Amino acid sequence: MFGSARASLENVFAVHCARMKSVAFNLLGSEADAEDAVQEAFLKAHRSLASFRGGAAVRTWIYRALINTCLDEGRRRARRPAAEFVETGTDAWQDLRVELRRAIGMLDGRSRAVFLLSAVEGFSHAEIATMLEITETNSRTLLLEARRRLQELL
Amino acid sequence: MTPEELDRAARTLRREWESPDLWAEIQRRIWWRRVGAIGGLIAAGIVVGLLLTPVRRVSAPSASPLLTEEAMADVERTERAYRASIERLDRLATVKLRTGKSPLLAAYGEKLRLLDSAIAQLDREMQSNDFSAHLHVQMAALYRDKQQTLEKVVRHE
Repeated sequence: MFGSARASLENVFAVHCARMKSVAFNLLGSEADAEDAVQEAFLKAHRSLASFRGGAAVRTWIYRALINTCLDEGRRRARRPAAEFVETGTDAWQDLRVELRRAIGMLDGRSRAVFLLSAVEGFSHAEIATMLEITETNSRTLLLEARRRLQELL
Repeated sequence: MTPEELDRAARTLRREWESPDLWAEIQRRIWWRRVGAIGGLIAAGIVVGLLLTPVRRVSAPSASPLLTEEAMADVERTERAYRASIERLDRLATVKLRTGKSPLLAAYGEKLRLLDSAIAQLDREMQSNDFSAHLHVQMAALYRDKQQTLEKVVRHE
């Protein structure tokens, strides 16, 4: 019973774990926090296994849970100093990356999530709309606004 | 910064690192959460199991190892037959759980998921310690509870 849903969960982890960690890292600023958020998303999904219909629903639901977990954590941190990203790369983009992360951190939660999912992770607007429970048009608008704001800031 | 530069810079934000233990950690946390939820259930099941399982008959100090093995084989045969009958019941209940919308059915569904998880975990433990009467007793109790829950689902109007 529910074996297929559990298999879907494991399959989502196998296929999407790296991408989920990256999304969470860019929202939270550390690998450890990102892994915690991914764990939390899967635990939430596991609690809701009975309501899923098919692998795509599980995947979308987990991304939504992940993003909400990260944004909630971001709100909890709002009263504390912002997390410093631990920059490990030493390529030519390193300085720009630091600046870009700082600017992304100044966007509101939804715009930040849309920008990261679209520009960094390459999700389509249809996918982002489903994950964030917004319309595709809203996703496009939020991305345009995010890009305009980032260009102003950089 | 031009839009093109922004796009290129954004793509470099993708971060990848190895997390070889992450899935195991997720599974561990799921398991412990379930253990907490069904802890009382198992404790009650053990008491019932100790009273009803044939293992009790061979656990006397005078039982020889051969008799113990025969009794364990008997328990395993009974378990297999029992599991097969529960699986048939499971198929009937699954249809009802998928189509039903009542909160009670949802609660039964959640309980069955917890029981399935506990059974799967116990199965894994038994693979490394198949002659543990204690584990067989626990398994019997879990299956009994699952059977009763499935019956309630099937009978649910």
